[in-house]
Amino acid sequence: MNIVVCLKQVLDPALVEFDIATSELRAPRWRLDQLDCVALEQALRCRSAAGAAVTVITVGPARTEEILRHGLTSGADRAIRVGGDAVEDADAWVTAGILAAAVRRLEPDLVLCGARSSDSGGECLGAYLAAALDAAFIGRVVWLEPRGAAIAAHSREESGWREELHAALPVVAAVETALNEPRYVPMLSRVYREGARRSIETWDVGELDVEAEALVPGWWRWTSRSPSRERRWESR
Amino acid sequence: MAAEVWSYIQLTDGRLDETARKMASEAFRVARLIGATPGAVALAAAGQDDPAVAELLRHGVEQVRLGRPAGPDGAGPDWAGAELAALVETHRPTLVLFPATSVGADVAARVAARLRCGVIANCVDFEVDGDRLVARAVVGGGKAHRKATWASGGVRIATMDMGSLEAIAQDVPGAVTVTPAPSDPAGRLVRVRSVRRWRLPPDEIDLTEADFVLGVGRPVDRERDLPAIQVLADRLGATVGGSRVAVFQGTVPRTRQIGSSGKWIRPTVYLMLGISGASYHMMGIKGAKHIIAVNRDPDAPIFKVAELGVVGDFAEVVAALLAASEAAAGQEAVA
Ligand SMILES: Cc1cc2nc3c(=O)[nH]c(=O)nc-3n(C[C@H](O)[C@H](O)[C@H](O)COP(=O)(O)OP(=O)(O)OC[C@H]3O[C@@H](n4cnc5c(N)ncnc54)[C@H](O)[C@@H]3O)c2cc1C
Ligand SMILES: Nc1ncnc2c1ncn2[C@@H]1O[C@H](COP(=O)(O)O)[C@@H](O)[C@H]1O
Repeated sequence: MNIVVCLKQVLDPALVEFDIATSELRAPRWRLDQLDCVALEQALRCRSAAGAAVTVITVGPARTEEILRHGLTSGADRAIRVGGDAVEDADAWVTAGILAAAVRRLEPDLVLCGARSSDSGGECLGAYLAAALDAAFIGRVVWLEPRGAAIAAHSREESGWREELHAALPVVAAVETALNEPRYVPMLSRVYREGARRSIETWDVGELDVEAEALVPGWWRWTSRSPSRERRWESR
Repeated sequence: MAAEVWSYIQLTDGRLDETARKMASEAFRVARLIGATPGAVALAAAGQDDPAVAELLRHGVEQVRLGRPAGPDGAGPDWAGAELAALVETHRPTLVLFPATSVGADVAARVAARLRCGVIANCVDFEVDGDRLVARAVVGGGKAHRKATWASGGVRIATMDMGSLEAIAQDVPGAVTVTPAPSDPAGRLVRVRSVRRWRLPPDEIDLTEADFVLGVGRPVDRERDLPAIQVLADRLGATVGGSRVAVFQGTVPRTRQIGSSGKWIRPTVYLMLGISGASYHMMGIKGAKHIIAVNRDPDAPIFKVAELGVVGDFAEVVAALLAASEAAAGQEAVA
């Protein structure tokens, strides 16, 4: 089985603050999104259970190689960073288009991503990927098991409701924290040292088959929380 | 024909719950803001005469689109996405609103992916700026807001931050038009099969998912107090958690710690027994809607944020609540 895990580098959610001077969210450091750690862990577990190759991939500038290195030292077989001009100010929409084009090339059986990231949290990347790959999409995954050429999973709903879903491969699954407890890989372990030696591939957006319309970002800017939750009921 | 704003209405046991009523009101509010017709789309509604449809009308909705019965693979999220995408494609509303709940966001993503349009998540409000519709959304776990427009043309999809919404009944009766979905089996390719649905008991739900949380602090003793508190929690359908001190004392397990270094909860009700309200604890309960605190000390910091405070011994309050719930259960049995 060929498994791809999508990793995203986010502003450290424990330290992120809104900076009034620059009107931006800022944090003193970046880290791998917590849900993506869970996705990575699940991929590694599926590999030891079913025998699979695990590729970690991210769309981002050079600084994001740090999270790919984490993927490799945790035990992933291959790491790819998709970079290029279009990546620099990519929003969720553009990221989805680029990631879909890159992942399509890898012809995965199973793609794992986070249900939402801590900084933007669009909650739609998995579904986009599935549509682009012509794959099934299972969201909010709290339990997952490969069964031959299919996946069985439990999805969470509100207030403790669960639903069991089955789909034939290829499948894109978006995971929740309750799925597993990510492992800690000690620096002296063989897995870590091998991962530290492996190289990270870089792909350029220009080489990928991304539709032009998918590369036009929307307009956006940060604003502070105020004028908070005040909302109008009449048009001006 | 005027542009339409739709809200996705999910029925619970055939009825409108608080989320659904808020969504109906939001369609009304946003439609007025941007000069469109408020509509709702309810997949599982039984038809024109469904009482749920009448209630949508009472919340200002003027157009109701209905889905068709689920196919052989059950009414899973994939079915909902396919069905909704077909409806949206047929009627082309300008904006479709979904609740930013786990199911709402999931279905929104599926519709967007099928129609290749953008989603702006966790929206609080909208405004018209020239010829663009701008959404204001919560980002960074509530640390900031972001104004954004949709890059894709045509249908826009947004998920709504439920904390910002209100359910408001309207006394202006609209002339509702109910339209059932067109039958278009080609648009319903469902790959994900729903096998079963069930509900976890409150004591197995993760704290982050619980709708009613009962938190215990330092004075609560595992042997002496917890059994009665657990009975109360079961009656209330509450999930029990605790402060870090409660975890250190072994009153509740580590997975049940509430606060910055534990779980960040967002229940409708958080009932706190003997928790002081230290800042590390408060960080994890920012998402709680109604906070009820029981504390012996009238100057406990928790009373600054609690909506309802009881100054007194938690054990007495637990006993009183147990008695009250017993009386209520007795009355129900008689009735
Ligand atoms: C880095 C760090 C991380 C932390 N993370 C967390 C965290 O994630 N979660 C967390 O909770 N804490 C955390 N803490 C600890 C936090 O600072 C507080 O120490 C802790 O929350 C206090 O727990 P408490 O309210 O149960 O106890 P106390 O602060 O001792 O409060 C007990 C309260 O019970 C009241 N009381 C006593 N007897 C009764 C009675 N019979 N009836 C009614 N009320 C009574 C008292 O008036 C008092 O207000 C963290 C601390 C640090 C330094
Ligand atoms: N730039 C990116 N590179 C790789 N994966 C990403 C990227 N952005 C988002 N993802 C994946 O999509 C999930 C949801 O992210 P988001 O759409 O930001 O909520 C993340 O948890 C990642 O698994």
